[in-house]
Amino acid sequence: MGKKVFVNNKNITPNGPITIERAKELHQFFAERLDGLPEQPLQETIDLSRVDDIDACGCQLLALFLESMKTRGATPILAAAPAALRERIDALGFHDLLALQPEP
Amino acid sequence: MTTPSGENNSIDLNRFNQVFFEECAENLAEMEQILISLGDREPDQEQMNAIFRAAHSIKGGAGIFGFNDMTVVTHVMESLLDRLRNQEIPFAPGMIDLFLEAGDAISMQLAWHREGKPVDQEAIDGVRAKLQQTIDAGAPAPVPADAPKEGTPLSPEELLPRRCRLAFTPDPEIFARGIRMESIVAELTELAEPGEFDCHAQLMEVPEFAELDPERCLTRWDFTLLTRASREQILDVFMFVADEEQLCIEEEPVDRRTKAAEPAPEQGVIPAAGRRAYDNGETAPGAFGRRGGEIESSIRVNVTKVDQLVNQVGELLITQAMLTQIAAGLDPILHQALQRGLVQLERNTRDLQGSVMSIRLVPISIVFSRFPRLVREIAAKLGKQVELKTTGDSTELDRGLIEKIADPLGHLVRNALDHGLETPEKRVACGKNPMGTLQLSASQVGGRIVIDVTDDGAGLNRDRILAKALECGIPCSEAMSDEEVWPLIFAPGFSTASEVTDISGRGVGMDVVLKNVQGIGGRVQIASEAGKGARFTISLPLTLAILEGLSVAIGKEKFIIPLNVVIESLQPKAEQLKSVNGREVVQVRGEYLPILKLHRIFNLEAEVTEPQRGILVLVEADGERGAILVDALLDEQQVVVKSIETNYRQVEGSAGATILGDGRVALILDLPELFAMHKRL
Repeated sequence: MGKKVFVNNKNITPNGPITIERAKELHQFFAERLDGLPEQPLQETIDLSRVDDIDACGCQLLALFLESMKTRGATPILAAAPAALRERIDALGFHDLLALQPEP
Repeated sequence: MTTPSGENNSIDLNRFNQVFFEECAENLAEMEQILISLGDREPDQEQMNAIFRAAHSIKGGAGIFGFNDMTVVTHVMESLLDRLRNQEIPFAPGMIDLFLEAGDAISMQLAWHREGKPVDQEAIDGVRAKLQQTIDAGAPAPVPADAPKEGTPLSPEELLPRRCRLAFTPDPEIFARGIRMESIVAELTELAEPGEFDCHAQLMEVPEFAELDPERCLTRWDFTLLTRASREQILDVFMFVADEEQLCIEEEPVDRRTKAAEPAPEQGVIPAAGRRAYDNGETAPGAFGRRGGEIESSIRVNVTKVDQLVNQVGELLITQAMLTQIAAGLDPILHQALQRGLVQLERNTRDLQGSVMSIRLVPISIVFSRFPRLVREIAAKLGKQVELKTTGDSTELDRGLIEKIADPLGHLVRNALDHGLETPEKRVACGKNPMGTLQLSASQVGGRIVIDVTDDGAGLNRDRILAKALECGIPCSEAMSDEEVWPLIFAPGFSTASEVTDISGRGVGMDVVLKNVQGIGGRVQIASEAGKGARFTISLPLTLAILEGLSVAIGKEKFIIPLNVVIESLQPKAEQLKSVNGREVVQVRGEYLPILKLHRIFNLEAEVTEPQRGILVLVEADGERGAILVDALLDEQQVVVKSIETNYRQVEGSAGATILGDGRVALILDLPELFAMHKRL
């Protein structure tokens, strides 16, 4: 099966909750994005503005995604996380693994 | 590129919820059992701790599994219990009823989540308010930190804050089990001093992304908190979550009071036994409610899987019996090794059958245990004094029957309390003990389970039953015997109660009892004596059970007689055979026993029709004796009882059926029914 090509290759924008209930679906989504990284990736922005909820499983998935991106030479940036999401990530202890860009 | 935000659940959380539901029900039952056993007495420390643990487990589980509504009542209840056990609030007898009421509210919420049954929110709010009022009304009695009471547990306020470090390496399935880390974090935060909680997650491994299982937990957490909470309270947070070796607690030196009161714990890393010791050496419910030391001693298995196993073993038994039958026709010398193997196979199959069948059977105490509270409440409502006695609690019957017999039994118990047993004044006036007795007993008799509900009340009122029957247009007469009159109460809408109460007497009770019991192949019998009491006997078939039976031949058919009704078998001599009132009887040791000719009862072609040419199997059931005429005795064997109603239709005179080695179906005889059929011939 051929590699997927993403029209909007600038940002990775998950939408909706990042929770256990959607773990498989999101795993596939992130895996495809990982697969779609350019040969010489630089900075990759993960736009969290459309994420309305996250749980520990979701945090872990996101952290693993970020680690995998780093392994492939990319510099992932988590951006535009809503306040409630920041709080949840902090509360669950993922503040180091999911280093968020400061709020504007 | 964005993801869809649909609600496409990738895992089935329902099966994990079921585990919580079952455990919650168990905790509620345990709590109720303790509360009922107390009467109006104050619980001792051990009982108080057990009630507290049950409430706490429910609250913890509900929070973790996301049933937040269930944490509301449990939280206030837990607070009250905590104050009680710390002797900050004095115990009052009314609290028992309040806790029972709280248990009902939680049960209602459980039923809502489990079965979608409606919740009476007003009642729940009412209980919560009452619990809160009780807490508020009891003046808290804070104990100065420097003057602790001997032997009383320390409240969080009494302990000096100390720093705890927790390393939590969860079960990889924690996410898939539906456990919410957020709840754990929130509970730990509550235990920490304000602003003194830190949580740090670390990935334990980073597998190839495409190959990882996103529902598998690869994270460990380190928590640091400054807390006044006891080690036990911290461990309670992980009650449903942590298994052994999954949680380590490192505590900085403990507070002065604890140090003085008990030997100082070892410094450094203290491995937290997931099911650590509780008060008085008890153990707390651990992950999924398992108790200490039971980590591997029990597992929960879906009933359908057990049923499947039972059926497969049943088929295996039939195959084994068929092989034995085929081998019986072979030369034993030439096929010695085969014969030995078959004997071994038979032994192993029977062992397997015994083991498997025992899984499906549950003790009737599961149902009986529901009644102490019912009796207590109804008796109090009616102003009656009642002692409930149970016997045969360990009698086992099929799980399916247990579920279906609870309602009919409940009806009978309510009726006995409402209509049977008299008020203390009336009893004293009749020369009876003011305390009435209600007895529930269970036993296995022949191929059936017999449950008696006996009271020592006024007994059934024959005249009123007859009058009411006439009023309802039910054919009856004064000439009818008691045995004919009593069943009239099973008519739909029949009630002799002069007042319709909310306990019974709605006139829809007894017909429902009969219908429900008949629905599972059972029957109800009544015995009553005016002024002395009544006994309702429910007799149920052993739908799925192992039965020791005697297989007999009548013509080309085979029948199974339950071995425990068999007294002896004999070939009668002509002088033993008599005729009494036109019925054939056999005289055995001075006693005349009716001869039951199965070929006539079941309308079969028999080789033997005259008793002196056949064999008489003497049997006794329900206090009645008889002699069954058979052509031949074949074998004593264990048979798998199958419900004939489910697989075919009800066959009068049979308590079920079994499949024989040759693949044929044999009826298992139901003696009481056969006696009744014989009398009608």
